[in-house]
Amino acid sequence: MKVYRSLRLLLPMLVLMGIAVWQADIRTDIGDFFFAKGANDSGFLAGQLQSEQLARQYLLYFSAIEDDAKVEPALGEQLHRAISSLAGVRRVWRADAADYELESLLAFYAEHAVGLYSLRPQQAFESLTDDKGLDRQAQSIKEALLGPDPALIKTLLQRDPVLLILPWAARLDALTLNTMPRSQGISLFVEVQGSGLDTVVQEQFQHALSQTFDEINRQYGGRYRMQSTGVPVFATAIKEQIASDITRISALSSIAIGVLFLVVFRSLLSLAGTALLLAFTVCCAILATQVAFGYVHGLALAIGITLAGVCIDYFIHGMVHMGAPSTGTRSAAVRRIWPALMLGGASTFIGYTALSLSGFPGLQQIAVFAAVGILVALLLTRYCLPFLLDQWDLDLRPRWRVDKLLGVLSRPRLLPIAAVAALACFAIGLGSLQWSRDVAELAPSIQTLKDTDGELRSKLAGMEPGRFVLVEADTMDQALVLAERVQAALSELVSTGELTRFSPVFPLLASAATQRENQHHWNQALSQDLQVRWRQALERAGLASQAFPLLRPATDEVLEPGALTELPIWPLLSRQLMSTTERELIAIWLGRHDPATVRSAIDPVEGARYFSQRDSIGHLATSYRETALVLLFCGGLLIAAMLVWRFRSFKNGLKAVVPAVLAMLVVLGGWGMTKPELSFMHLIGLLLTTAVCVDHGIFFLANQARDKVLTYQAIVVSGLTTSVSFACLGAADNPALHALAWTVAPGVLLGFLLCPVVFANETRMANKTTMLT
Amino acid sequence: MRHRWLASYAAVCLILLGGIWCDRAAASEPLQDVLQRLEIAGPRQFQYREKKQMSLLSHPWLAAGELFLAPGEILVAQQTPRETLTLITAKQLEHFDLQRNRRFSRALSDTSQLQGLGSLLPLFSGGEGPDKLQERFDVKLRQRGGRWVLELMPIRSPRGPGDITLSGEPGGPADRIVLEFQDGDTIEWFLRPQADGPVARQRMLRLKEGLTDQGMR
Repeated sequence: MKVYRSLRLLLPMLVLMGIAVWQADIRTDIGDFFFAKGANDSGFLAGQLQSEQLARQYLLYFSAIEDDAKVEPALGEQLHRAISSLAGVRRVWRADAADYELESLLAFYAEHAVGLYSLRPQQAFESLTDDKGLDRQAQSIKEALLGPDPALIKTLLQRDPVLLILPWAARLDALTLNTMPRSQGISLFVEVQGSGLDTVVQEQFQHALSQTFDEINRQYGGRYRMQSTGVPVFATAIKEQIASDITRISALSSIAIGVLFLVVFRSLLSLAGTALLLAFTVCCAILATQVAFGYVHGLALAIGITLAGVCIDYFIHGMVHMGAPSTGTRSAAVRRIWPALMLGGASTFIGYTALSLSGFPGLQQIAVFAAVGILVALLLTRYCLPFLLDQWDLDLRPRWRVDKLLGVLSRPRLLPIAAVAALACFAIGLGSLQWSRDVAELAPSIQTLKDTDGELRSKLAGMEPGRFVLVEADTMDQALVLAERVQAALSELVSTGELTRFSPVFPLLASAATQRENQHHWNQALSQDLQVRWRQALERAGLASQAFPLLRPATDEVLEPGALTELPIWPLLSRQLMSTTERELIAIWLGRHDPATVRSAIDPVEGARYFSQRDSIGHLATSYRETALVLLFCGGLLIAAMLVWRFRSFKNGLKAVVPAVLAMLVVLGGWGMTKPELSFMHLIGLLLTTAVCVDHGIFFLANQARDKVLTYQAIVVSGLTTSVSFACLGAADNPALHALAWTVAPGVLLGFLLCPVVFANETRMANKTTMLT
Repeated sequence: MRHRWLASYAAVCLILLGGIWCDRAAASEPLQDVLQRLEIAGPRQFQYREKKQMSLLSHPWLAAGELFLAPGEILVAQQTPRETLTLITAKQLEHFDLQRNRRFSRALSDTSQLQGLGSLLPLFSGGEGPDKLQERFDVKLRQRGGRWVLELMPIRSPRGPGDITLSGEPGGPADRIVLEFQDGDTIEWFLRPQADGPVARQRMLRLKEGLTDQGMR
């Protein structure tokens, strides 16, 4: 019968847990965690990180193991072919343009050479069509014909009789194609079909890629190595690291908590029961987060589980109080401590709700996760735990006595000493406290990958990563108009040497207005007289004019961005043209520059602004942090007000917070002295420490069991459990988990040790009462 | 009169027979030997003259300078009419107009796609025996005017080199290269050996350094 009753409770729990596991869409993209989507900087960063095309791209670099050895061209071709034939590959292209690519590019653009001739069409065509200009152009054609590839020039002349493509190619040469620093290796871009963030698919592809490379490399005696970077590489590495962290931490904390439970309760069933309730709590939290956000971030899950782990406090309190010999029924014991439990839960809930309003998507998820976890844990403690213990007939009494510890810590003079020590610690560390401006530091520590990424990208172009001019407009054509104005301003800076180079969109693309203006001025200049003068110029240059095609008018066809997608230049261009749901964006990458000079140069162009990825992330971090601090302060005030209302005494209400405040002061001082850069995670850790310590303060002060020793016993056991489980987070590779570990573990430890120190009077009074009775 | 006719007829026959004999004699020289002579083991320096005849030019264009052949690379240091440097390797074509400080650089997928001397890079670099050569070209080795003549007519060439003719003194290297394109344009190179070994290597190195400096500028 008992088994049947237990099953009646356990089965729905297991079903719900199954649904949570089945439904959860766990994502590991760091952009989802740190950046909110929208039209602001955060939205742009999110868009950039999540751009479908960029997210599907790998950059592969093949080089000789011996540094100065050159890679055989045959290897590049072989790899190109082999990788193109791998399953799931959309296309492969070389980072440097091969000759056939250059040819196709020139052949394509020769048709649009008039429209893309100049950003100042009137002056440009006037200068081209006077006698000097025609001589210059004829001379250029002759030089090109006598240059290294006359056949290409002959082909182009059929499409573009004045060879306007020559100045176009010269501009392009200066901008993109031939600016690759000389390197001995071969770079290949690979675009895959599946999402770059689909780690399962990407792991399979990476495995196939490694196998293919190994096979080909064996033919060359294993002389070469392959390096790779790109969003999919980061995604799989982060997933691996998070998975490895979760496995390691789960194993470690399970062992630690298991040992602690065995030592304290000497009961394996108590461990199983608590683990079941905790797992159910976590699954409910996952399900709620999934419903609220549509996905659960891996990092939010890892931190959320840890936060929900605090809920174990409620179970332990319940178990300790239910196991006390003086207790009547188990339900009665829980009913007695229920107001204190609710108060503790409410204070933690307020803290996390405040945090969720900070606008930081990661924190919002963590807040929802923790809030649901707390609510479910409280309800389980109140309604399920007594039922389960009854069914299993468990007598859980801690085998530890804390009387001696309580006696030592309740000495009257300890409070001023502890307060002075905490204040001194805080004062010493305060001066050295510093906030980190880089949220990326919280990302899994993939420094090796970051280094490889920087190394490989530096081989491609001399542009500064992460700093560029961003042009925004409602339509792409409007954005192109603005980009042309920015280009003019930046060209000035290049001519004065204040900017080494930049990557404008022109001459690869121009606004419709510019293209039409070019066509108009060319058609206006084209006359019988020009035909005659052009032939004369050709003759003067030593060219056989009769062998050249006649000059012809430009068509009114305008080159649109969509027409470029199949060109070999598109992979480069697509990194500059971006669309968000609301705006069209053009990024103009910059070479070495002074930010202030660039800012002032583009200032007159409305819709263009200087963008520094790092600065923007820093500003976002600062803004999130400042909002979070204000909200935490408000949340703190609300908690204090609630405690004052609950205890009907200003003094007692504030007293419940004192262990938390002292612990916080010591932890803050410790941070200052050890000098880590403080991040959101430290803030969350601080909030968590406060929540746990305030709970302990409430339990101790409320003392609804009328037994301080029993209450403290429960506090010590739950505090130890919390400290031990958080200390286990220190074994993770993830810096965010490190921050939590070294904030919560010492904070909670101090918090429960400080409870009797702060409430020494109440303890002594209670002891006297106990002795009298 | 009849005797005179017979004598003339006999003389023509003798000349033709002589020609056929000469050609057979040349053909009897194994292609492998000629290819081995063309193969460059170490850097070699030549004085060269170049003559381009193109339908788009009113007059033939003449140039002269130094040509360096080394395994895997050809360096052309044109001195007249204007100073230019062109380095052709299997992977890259670099061209600098020193006077105008203008640079042209291109990654190559296949040197055989390149017109001009670049298409001969595999031949000079060795490793292209008769069989492999015959995959790319219809190969004819003849003897003409006491000189060996190697004719290479490309088998598959959408836009690659036209017919290539190399010739030289018996037992000597190629001293004349003629490239004839499908549209009738021709380029003729006349080569005169100047130095080899360390001297050629040193000079070539110096020119290449200049090329790199230009590239870095």
